[in-house]
Amino acid sequence: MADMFNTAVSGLLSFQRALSTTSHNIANVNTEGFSRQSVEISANSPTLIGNSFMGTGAHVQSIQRSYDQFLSTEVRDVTTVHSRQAKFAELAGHIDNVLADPKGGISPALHNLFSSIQDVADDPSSSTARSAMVSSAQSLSERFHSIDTRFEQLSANTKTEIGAVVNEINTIVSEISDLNLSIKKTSGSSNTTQQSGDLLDRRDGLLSKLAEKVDISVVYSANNNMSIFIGNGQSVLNGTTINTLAVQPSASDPEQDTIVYNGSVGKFDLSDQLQGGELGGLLNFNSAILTTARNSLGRTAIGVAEAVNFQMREGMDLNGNLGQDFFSYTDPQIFSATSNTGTAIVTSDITDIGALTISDYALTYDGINWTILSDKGTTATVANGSPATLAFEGITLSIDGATASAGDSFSIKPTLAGAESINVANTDPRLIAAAAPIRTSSSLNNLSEASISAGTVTNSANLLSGGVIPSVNFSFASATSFTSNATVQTGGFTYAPSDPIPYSQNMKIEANGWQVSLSGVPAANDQFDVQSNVGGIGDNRNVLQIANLQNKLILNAGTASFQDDYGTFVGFVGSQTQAANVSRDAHAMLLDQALNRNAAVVGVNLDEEAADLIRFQQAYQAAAQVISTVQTMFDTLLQSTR
Amino acid sequence: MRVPTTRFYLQGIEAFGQQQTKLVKLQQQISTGVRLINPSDDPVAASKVLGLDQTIQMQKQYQDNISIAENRLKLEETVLKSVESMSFRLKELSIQANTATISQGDRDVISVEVKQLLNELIGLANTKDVSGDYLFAGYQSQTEPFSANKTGSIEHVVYAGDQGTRSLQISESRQIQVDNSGSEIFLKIPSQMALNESAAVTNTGSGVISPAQVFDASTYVASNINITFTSATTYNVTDSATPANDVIGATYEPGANIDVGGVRLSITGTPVGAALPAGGDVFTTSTGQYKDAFESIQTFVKTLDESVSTAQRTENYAVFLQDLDNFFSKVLEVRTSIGARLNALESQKDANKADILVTQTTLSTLRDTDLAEAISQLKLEQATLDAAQAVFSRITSSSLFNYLR
Repeated sequence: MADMFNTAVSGLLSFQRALSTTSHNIANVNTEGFSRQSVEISANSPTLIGNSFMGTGAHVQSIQRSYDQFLSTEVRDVTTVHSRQAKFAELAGHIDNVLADPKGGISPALHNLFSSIQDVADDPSSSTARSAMVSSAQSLSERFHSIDTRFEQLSANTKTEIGAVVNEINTIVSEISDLNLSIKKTSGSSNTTQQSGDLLDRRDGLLSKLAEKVDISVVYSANNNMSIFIGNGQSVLNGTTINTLAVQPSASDPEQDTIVYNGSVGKFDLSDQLQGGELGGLLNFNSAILTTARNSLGRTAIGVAEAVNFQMREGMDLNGNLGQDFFSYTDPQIFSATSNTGTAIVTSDITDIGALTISDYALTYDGINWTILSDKGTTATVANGSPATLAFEGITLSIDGATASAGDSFSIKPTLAGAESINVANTDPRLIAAAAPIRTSSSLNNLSEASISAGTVTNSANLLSGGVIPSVNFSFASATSFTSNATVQTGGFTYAPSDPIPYSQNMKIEANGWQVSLSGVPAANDQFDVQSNVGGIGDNRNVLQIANLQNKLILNAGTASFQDDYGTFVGFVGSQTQAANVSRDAHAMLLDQALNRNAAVVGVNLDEEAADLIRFQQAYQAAAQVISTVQTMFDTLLQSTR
Repeated sequence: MRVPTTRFYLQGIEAFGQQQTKLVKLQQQISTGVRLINPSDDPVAASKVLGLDQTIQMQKQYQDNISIAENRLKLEETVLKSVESMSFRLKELSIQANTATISQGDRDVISVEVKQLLNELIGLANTKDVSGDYLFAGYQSQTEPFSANKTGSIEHVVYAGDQGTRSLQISESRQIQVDNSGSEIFLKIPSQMALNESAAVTNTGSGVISPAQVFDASTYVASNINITFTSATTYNVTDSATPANDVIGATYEPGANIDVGGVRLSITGTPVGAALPAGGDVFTTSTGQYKDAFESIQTFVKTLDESVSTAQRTENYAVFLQDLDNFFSKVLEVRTSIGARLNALESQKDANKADILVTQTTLSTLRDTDLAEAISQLKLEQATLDAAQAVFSRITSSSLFNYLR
């Protein structure tokens, strides 16, 4: 009887525990990361009575936590990829939005600039048209500035966020480490089934959070030890040893941050190996889109500035002076690595906008030669010198390497600052060089119908001599031979003043940086003159050339106009964002499916718990009934012995 | 397989979120009429749209340029028409002057009118366009091109412009010239009686030779005339074709008429003389190709004003008529070219218009929302959202707890 009593009580207690576990499940139905717990009730060891075994009731063997390591690892892995794509898509979306406003982009401002240039071509002496051209050039510069500023802000925000994420990673790792200690303490023996389900849930939650930040792999080992590895096998948590991550400016390029791993053997740069999680997304965004975006915008800005400047210098302004640069922008940015031991000086200029790329470059010295390497893999070498000059992909480097040491390196960014630095250098409308610098005439005393072309500039640097454009005269001694009063080149030969020059139809003559052509049948004593166009206020030849820059294929090895270049940039941002969005949505779906599969094992279903409640409640009632039955039996026994 | 209760709710909520995002996007597309809101909506189209925008802007600019070109050419046309009617009048007057029974008084009356017409012609040659630039000055559009001058005794018109012309861009590959230089219209009239004059490059004095004019067409023979200064006050004249016209030891009067072989000129300043055979400063006239229109009229005026022989008068009138015809031909030639250019502008304008339309249509196809399609898509998504919401409420309202006491 006592046995029966104990059996009943054991049942009662077991069902009580079961009910409380079920109510724990119900209470935590909405808890994030909660794994369903179920009670394992097993029969007590039987006792031998006579020659048969009597059961002695039940006891709670253990409270099982529903858990599938494979599924939960799968969830973590998919989470890592998804949060990387989500972060990347979010950041790309920012740039996408910057470019979304059709009125706010570069295109309208670019069109306005060239419209105003055409207006000056229509009426070169009009001060209204000239002022309008200066204004629209300033507007274009402003527009470049404002878009670049948004990119710069994004860059700064990304940097801050990287720092925050790295801090979070370190914090979570140390929290996990603490939790590991708690779990060990509360687990008593090394029997893993006795670990606290809720603490384990908490740890899994932290691991998920960590997986969102960076790609990790988790290894469980004996004695409740757990290790977390990132990158290529660097451990951030090994038992109780924690290795932290830190953000540091790159040694070779102080503008870039790198993620540094504080290992036991020293620090090293992990950035290339961190591909997943928010950290991977942030790092990838920086290198794949943001840098390219700023460089691309910069190249368009520099392209416009330099092309207009070059043409402007080939013209003459209202004051009769040769044109000056209209736009200004900074030279390529050069950063010396903090690890440099030598003191070489490197300067550079943009010399060929057609060859200009959107790459960044690294310049290194091996003791004998300087080697430049672009981020697309193209490279060139030059021997050291003082100075050593190297022209590569549109930029010309001048290296004073007298005090260089082997291993020195520099980071060169030609177009990064293009969009933020473009400005109108010459705001005086009178200084717009609308006219060509020379004009030609055939003397009215000529007896023939031969003519001279209006003249074009071949090299503006050679136009002036002693500060003025010298007048050149061609004087025909006969119909087939003439002389010039200056040194000229024609037909591959150079002729000194007064040398007889043979005439041929449509011959081209070059001198002093310009070129004219003579045509027709000349006669003896014919004269043709080339002189400075001072006073040629109504001449629009040069500004017409500037206007025609609009659809000239100048950039990218002669394949793109300014609009094309900008259009390619917009298309690039758009397609990267679109791809990121698609990828994010696809991974969201994958994540959903993985969560569903995992939840199928660990999740709480209220209907199931309700059924369990009923089941255990009935069992409890039955066990309670047994106790009252035992009591009745005892009373009966007592009654019978009175 | 077990589905946790939370997953029911979460999935429903996610579905709402997705549907609502789609609805908002459609709403934006319909209300703005633009399908391409972000470049990521259609990157290739976004990039193309920018290019097409530029094409349209450039084509519209070309249309503006064509208007400006048309205005300038029409102005030039109007001026040249006035010049033509002026030369008709001059022709009438010269025929009138050529009648046998005319008196000096009548000639004086004609002379007055001719002088007035000459001034008018100079005025027309100095026409300004709407922006205040001189039309016929070549590149030097703020310098008055033609002005009356006098060197010594010879009146002539000086041209201060150059031979440049202005062009405007009327299509991507085409420029059109929108003026003609004053030198082309007024200074290059072919004539048998044109003269070139020059001072030798070796001259050391400050003597200046005026433009030489054929003043006696009846005695003029094409030749080279050299005036050599033998001293500061004396000069010799040699006529290469008619040695009979040679003069030795003529007295130099600065600014006086020098008539040799039908040619009249004038020398001013202080030439340096030296005895023969070396000789001092030398001035030369020779046959040229072109006369300027003003010179012909001035010679006509001189013929009317001065008392000259009948033979000279008759020959001079004949030469003047010939010059007027040549001038008229020249003006007509320029007017014809203006007409051709205006035609070219007209057809380019139409071509540009057609281009703009085509480009705008392409642009619209890429960029604008197809309203019919978008609205039916909206209805579809709305229906899906409604269905999702109905399903959600159905599923979440069924629970075993509802059936327990």
